This record gives sequence, C-alpha cells and structure tokens, in this order.
Amino acid sequence: MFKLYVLATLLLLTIGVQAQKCNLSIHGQVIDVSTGLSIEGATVILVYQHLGATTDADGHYTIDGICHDTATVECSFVGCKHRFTLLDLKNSKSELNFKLSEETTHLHEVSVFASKVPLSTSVPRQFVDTLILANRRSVNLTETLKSISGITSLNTGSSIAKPMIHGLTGDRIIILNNGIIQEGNQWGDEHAPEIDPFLATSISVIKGAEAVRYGSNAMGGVILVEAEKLNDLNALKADVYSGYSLNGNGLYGSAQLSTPIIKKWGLKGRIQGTYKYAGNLNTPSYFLRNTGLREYNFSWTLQAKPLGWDTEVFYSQFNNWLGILRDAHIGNVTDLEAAIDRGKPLTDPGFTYHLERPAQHVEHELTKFKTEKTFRKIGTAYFSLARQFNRRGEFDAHIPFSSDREISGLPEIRFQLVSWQVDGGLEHKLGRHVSGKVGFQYINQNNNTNGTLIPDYTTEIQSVYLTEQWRKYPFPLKFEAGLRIDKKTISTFYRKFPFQLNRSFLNTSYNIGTIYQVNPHVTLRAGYNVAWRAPNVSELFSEGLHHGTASYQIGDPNIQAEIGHNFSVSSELNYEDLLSLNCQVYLNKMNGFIYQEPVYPPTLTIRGAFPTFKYKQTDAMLSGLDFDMKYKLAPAIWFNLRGSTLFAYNQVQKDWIIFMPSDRVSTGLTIRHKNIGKLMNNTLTLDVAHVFQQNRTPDNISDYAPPPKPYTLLNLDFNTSIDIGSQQLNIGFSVNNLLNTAYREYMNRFRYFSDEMGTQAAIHFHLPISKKSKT
Amino acid sequence: MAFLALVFVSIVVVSCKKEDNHDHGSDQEQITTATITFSLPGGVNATASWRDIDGAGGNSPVIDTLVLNPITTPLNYTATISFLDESKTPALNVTEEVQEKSDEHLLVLQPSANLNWLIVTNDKDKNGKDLGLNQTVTVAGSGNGTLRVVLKHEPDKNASNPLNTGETDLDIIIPVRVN
Repeated sequence: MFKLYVLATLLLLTIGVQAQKCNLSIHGQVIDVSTGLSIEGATVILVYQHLGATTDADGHYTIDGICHDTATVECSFVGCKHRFTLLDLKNSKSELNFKLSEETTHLHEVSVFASKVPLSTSVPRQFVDTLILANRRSVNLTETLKSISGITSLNTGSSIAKPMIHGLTGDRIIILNNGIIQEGNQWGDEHAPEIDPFLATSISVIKGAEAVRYGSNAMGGVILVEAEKLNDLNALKADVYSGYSLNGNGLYGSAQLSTPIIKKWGLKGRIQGTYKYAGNLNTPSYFLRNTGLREYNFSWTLQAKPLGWDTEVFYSQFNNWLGILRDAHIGNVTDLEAAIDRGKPLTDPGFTYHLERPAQHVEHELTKFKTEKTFRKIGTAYFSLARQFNRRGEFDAHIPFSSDREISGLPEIRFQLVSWQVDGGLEHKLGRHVSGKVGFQYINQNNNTNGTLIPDYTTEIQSVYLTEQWRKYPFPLKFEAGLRIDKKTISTFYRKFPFQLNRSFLNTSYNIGTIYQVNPHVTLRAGYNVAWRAPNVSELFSEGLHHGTASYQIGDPNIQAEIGHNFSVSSELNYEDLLSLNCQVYLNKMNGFIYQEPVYPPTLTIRGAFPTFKYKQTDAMLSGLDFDMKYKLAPAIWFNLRGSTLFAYNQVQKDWIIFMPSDRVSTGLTIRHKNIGKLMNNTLTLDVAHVFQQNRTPDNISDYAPPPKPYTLLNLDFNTSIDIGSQQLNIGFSVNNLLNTAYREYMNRFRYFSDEMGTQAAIHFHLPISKKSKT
Repeated sequence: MAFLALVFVSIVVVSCKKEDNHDHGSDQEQITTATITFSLPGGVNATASWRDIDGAGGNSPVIDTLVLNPITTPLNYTATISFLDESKTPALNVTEEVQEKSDEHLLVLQPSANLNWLIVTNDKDKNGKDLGLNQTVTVAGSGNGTLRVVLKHEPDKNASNPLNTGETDLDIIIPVRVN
C-alpha cells in the first residue's frame, strides 16, 4: 500500500501554459481504494473558489472555470473521510483523481493518477505528451505521433511523412481533424496529412480498429487532432510560437488569439495562423538538392450557444510547397539502378532556400459546422456538416515540352477532390447502467484528376451505427458492443477512353470488448473489432505510369473489400510517482488484403522499361506488441523504455509482406528540476533510439536494394520557462540525431537515393499571453 | 431552421477554394515518336521510327528496323534524330523544345558492340558541350545489331559516363540491319 499524503504539486503536464485566468479546469475520477471501483455521488469542491462537482455513475467529475492556478481541493463521500489537496494547476486540462477509503483507524491516502480518462474504449488510446508536442509540432503531424509506441512513419524523403499505426496507413486509418474525417487522396503513398499541428491542443491515437464509432475503414486505428474548446474562455488570450531549426535553416512562426466577442450571446472566437520556411536539408555528408519547403496555414473558429445549442463554426486552410529531392525523380529502372550503385545523390548543391521542380503543391480547406445540445432525460444530440477541398499538384522534374507558357507551369498530375460530410446522432443513457451512442454519417466525394493515372470518380458513403457500454457498480467490468452498417458506392467517369463503371459495397463493422478496472492502478482492456475497407480507385482502376513512384501501376476492377478482424489485449499500469506502463498485444487478420505484386516483364515505354505492379488480394495476418514504460529511479529522475514489434505475414504466399516497419526500441532518462536560477519547470530528456534491420521481407518479391542496416540515434530535449515581465516564456531545445549518424530507414521510399537527415537542432519559443484577472 | 440554412449558405460562401476547370484534351506534350534518319550527301535516307502513340501501356510500341545499304565501306552517315507528339492533331514537333533547352539535354547513340560503328557528335549546346541531335556515324562491314537511342534530361555532361546521370526522357532500342 502506498502511504501518500497531501501532494503539493502534481501533474506537471506542462504544455507550458501558464495560469490562463478562469480557463482552468480539472476532471478526473474518484475511486474507492478498497475495491478499486468508481464512486458515484462523491463531491469534489474547490474550497475557496466555490466551485464543485459531483461524480457520475462512472465516478467522473469535471470542474470548469477555475480562476487560480493553485487550489485546495476537497473530495468527500458519505462514509469516507474528507481529503484535502493543494493543487498546482499548470495545465488547463489537469486530471485529478481521488482514491477514497472508508474511514477506519488509519490515515487515508490520496493518490493522483497521471492517466487521462476520456472516452473509455476496449482498445488503448494514447496521447502525445505535451512536451513532445511542443518540440515536434513545427515539423509535421506525423513527427509528433512517432513518440507513441506502435506508431511509425512512411516517408517520401524527409518532408513527406504519413503516420502508420501497427503497419497500416493511408485509407486503412482515419485521421480526424477537429472531428471531421480528413479526406485528401490519402491512398497515395506520398500524400501526407494536410493538418497543421499548431491548431491542436491535443493529439491522440486509438490503437485499434475503432470502426463502429469513427468509420468502417479505421482498420489500424484513429488519430484525433483536437483543438481546445472555447467554452471556458472568459478573457482574451493569445499564444505566440516561433522557432528555428538548424538543418534546413528553417524558420517558423505561429500565433493564436482567442477571445469572447459578444458576451451576451456567449459568442467566442479564435483565429490562428502558421508560417514555415525552410531550405535544403543535409545528411552528415552532403546537402539534399531541392528539399526546402514553404507552408502557410490559418484557421478560425466561432462558438456560441444559441437556444442552448452549443454551436461551432470552424474554418481551416493548409497550403504548402514541398521540394522533392531532385535525385529521386529518376527516369526508369536503369536510372534507378544507377542511382543505387552511386550510393549518394549526383550533386551536392550546398544550402539554398531555392525551391524548384520536382515539387508537390498541396492545398486543403475545411469548413465545418457543428451543433449539440444536452437534453435532460434523453442525452446529447449532435449534428455536423463539413466541406473539404483538397488539391494536390505533382510537378515533375521536367518542365513539360511546350512552348505554351501556361501549360509549362502546370503540374504533371493534379488531384482534386471536394468532400461533403454530414454526421448526426445521440449520446444517451439507458437507465443507470447503460450509455452509448447512435448515429448516422453521410459522405459525398467528387474527385477529378488531371493526368493519366486514375479516372475521375464520385464516392458516396451512407452509414448508421450503434454502440453501447454497460457497467453496473460495483461489478468491476465494463462491457461494450457496437454495430455499424456502411454502404459505399464508387462511380468512375473518365479515363483514356471515356467509360463509366460502378462498384458498390455493403458491409458491417462490429465490436465487442471489455474494460476491467482491476484496482485503482491497473486497467485491462480486451476488444474484438471488425473493420472493412472498400478498394480505392487507385487499386481498382490504375492504368499508367506514376512518376512519383517511377512505376507502372495496374489496377484490378474486380477487387473486393478488405475485412479486418482486430483482436487487442492491453494493460495500463499506473502506480503514480513510481511506475507507468502501457502494453498492448494485437492481432489483425485481414482477409482480402490488397497489395501490389510485381509483373514481369517491365512495361516498355519510350522512356525505357518501368517496373510494373498489379494490385492483388491475399489474406494477411498482422500481429505485434507495443509497450511504453516510465519508471522512477530517484526523486526527479525517470527511466523510460519504449518499443514495438510487428509481424506482417501473407498467408497465401506464405511469406512476409513487403514494406512494413521493423522492430524498434528506445530508452533514456528524464530529469526534472523545478528551479535552476531563473529557469523554471525544467525537463531534460535523453533518449537512445535503436531501429532494427527489417529481416521479415518476402523472398519472391524483389526490392531494388536490400533493407538498410540497423541504426541508433541519440536524441535530446530540454524544456524550461522563464519569466518575462508578467508573462512566462516557454523555451524548448531539441536535438535529433545528436551524433550526426548516417543512416537509412527502410520505410522511407527515397532510401534508394540518399541517407536520412543528419543532426537536427531546433529551438522553440512559446509565449502565452493573457490579461491579468482581478483576484 | 432558418439558422441552419444560414449556416449552410455561409459554409458555401466562406469556402474559398473552388475546383479549377480542367480540360482533359489539353494534356501536356510528350514524346510519342522518335525518328532517326541516316543520310548521305547525295540525299539518300534511311529512317526508322519508334512509335507509341497511346503512351505507356495500351497498345505496344511499333518499332521500325533501320536498314542500311552502304555502297562503300567504311561510309560516313549523318544521323539526325527528331521527336514528335503524335497524340495531338496536328502532330507537334518536340525537337525544337529540346533544341531550345540544349544545355539540359544530351542525346546518346549506343550501337551494339558487333556493329563496330564510330560515332562523333556534331552539334553543341549553348555552353559548348555535346547535344547530339546531329551526329556522324561511320559504318563499316555488314550485319545485324541494335541501336540504343537515349535522351537524357539534366545529365552531368562532364561525367565519364553521362548515361548514368540525370533523368531519362527517351531510352529506346531500334533493330539495325546493315546489308
């Protein structure tokens, strides 16, 4: 048993957000220490601020509108002794959980969990640590996610990175941008998610096929990018971010301003924008030609509560120009082999900001409307409508043969899509023990492509779903079950020769799962989730040379849907202030797994022979293990250990599946020190990351180069804050690949052409600005 | 519900980005046809074309055989190469584009070893380096072989083997018969 008493400061979950006056909130759970079960009807109050809440059937409570960064919190329940805690809120979303025990002769213990307790699912959900978010978000979304075990990245060069959950990416995972499914031709290997991490205050990953709630094709998992709600906003608040990265001489600036607009209507708003500018990156031995980027993003939000409906309008735009390594745009197989033999790029251009062809130009726009209202006996009803526009132009190295100036400025392939999404539903409680959600979704998408790879097409998806959770206190298990029916239709219109083709898919996704609260420190989850994915247009109808991948791709119009059976067992141990351990074992049986198989002979074109691939189906089994551990070695020193392994097997060919991430492990120390002179809230993390060579590759499918050797990288992060006048400036230093190791990563499609980046050293500034409040 | 309608309208109005009109008909120029002409001072010509009018995939390319009937041996031919985009009507002459961006292009003729030809490039680019649209080929003996024609984009013209550098715009093999 732990003998803990009043904790003075806890949960330094430092986003580095200083006390935002009256914007603080805490929420958590109250547990009965002897049974480990949650307590309904306990009260949690802030003694001197006259704020409080009562816990619900699951023992959860939320207190909003807290004005001070320190608070005395009291938790009480009939039969349990009162407990007082001095709470130091450095984070506007602190968790504070209580463990109460019956009053007997010994002292009570108050313990606090560092775990977040949001929607409970039978597959684990992990959040990106706030310091990692601060130090990585200027790179791209995927870079912030890689800190979670089981998440890897599929790269095309250093600037284009797609997140992979347990080996699955593209349209096998769902990315939610502010609650809306991100639609941007994500079937493409070199199409990275068009989301600005600066608009998010929380980024999390659900590591399992949560298809019923989020979408039938969430076969690997769901990534949620969420911005802070404005509900608690009572005064003007701003955040300014800025930073510089040495590798690439990259500069960025981002700012965000939130303010109440018309108090009478409860109208509040936020406006946000980011700008990034960088030039050529370098490896330990040479610069990479044409690897700069330009990016500008902005968004605005309006929130109000007309007639009790909590309503939000959100608009965001994402625009970037990405240089693509010049040496990666080769012509044909012969050129590719020459490049591989050469072992490094043809030229070392040195550093320049100049951006030329080949390049990618991406524009993404999201407009969202959402409203919800809680009705006493019924539940929370919601409705949302969103429009997305996505345009991606791929500019090949060769300016097109044309004397017509207008044509020579055009990309070789230009993908464009407009997607409408409608969602509605009701979150409800049925009696005391059952709570769930029933809803519908409708998506209509129109795609046109300028270029000869895939046809134009329209997609329509209609879905209904129902999910329920049952928990009867004091029984320690919570059960959930869900069902979702989706109908998807694909209609194509134009190809080299005009024709029309329709495919229609109707399938169900379902799940059963359980969450077992063993004791206050240990949670076990087990879930069986079924998800499915209709083949995308590239898999069905590709017929052409894809310059981006230097291959000729052939689709198969008869391909059927993939159906995935996902089993997951996971545990979360949280012995606060001593040990936290998350561990997951999973099995993903994917029937009808779609992949590309090489076809011989290569296609002969006027440019020479190109490797040719045809889409095929097989049955696959993907299984693996992830774990994240933090162990306290001494006061203020934590030991970290994290790792993942994945086995991806083609059951028909009886061989491994190509292009899957290798095993990796990382370990290190985190040292925290409250004050060093003027520096406050200091956190230093040293991390050694080792990536193993991928030996699970197929024998019969040849790759142009063998998987790269294993490599080890040393990384360092240091975060601190200093007072500047009445505000607090947060500073982060991060060094990636401190030893300037030369290496190649198997999951980078450009590993044939060059090494990965050398050392990247960056400095990040964050200045939160808030008006002083009257105490 | 007027509120909802207002919101709907505002979403459409606010969304700035609209689709651009695209015309599949105006696809960019490409090389569909490469023609090599071996000529003699008197005006005697032998030509062979490599044609793939519908581009990659679809119908297979149609490849002529270059047939030479040299009167004497050895004999100096002037080899000229031209490019067309025959997917358009009328056919577009792409050779001019290559000529305009001469510093970015290099054309290399690679006969099979058994033909024993001697090749000299006549034309130069803007920077005085080889271009290759006009070359002198000294043909000796008779026999069958192949002629590989490669057009490189942005090669390293100073490299010992420029063929292994840059990007390939054209890489075709034409059968050759010398009588």
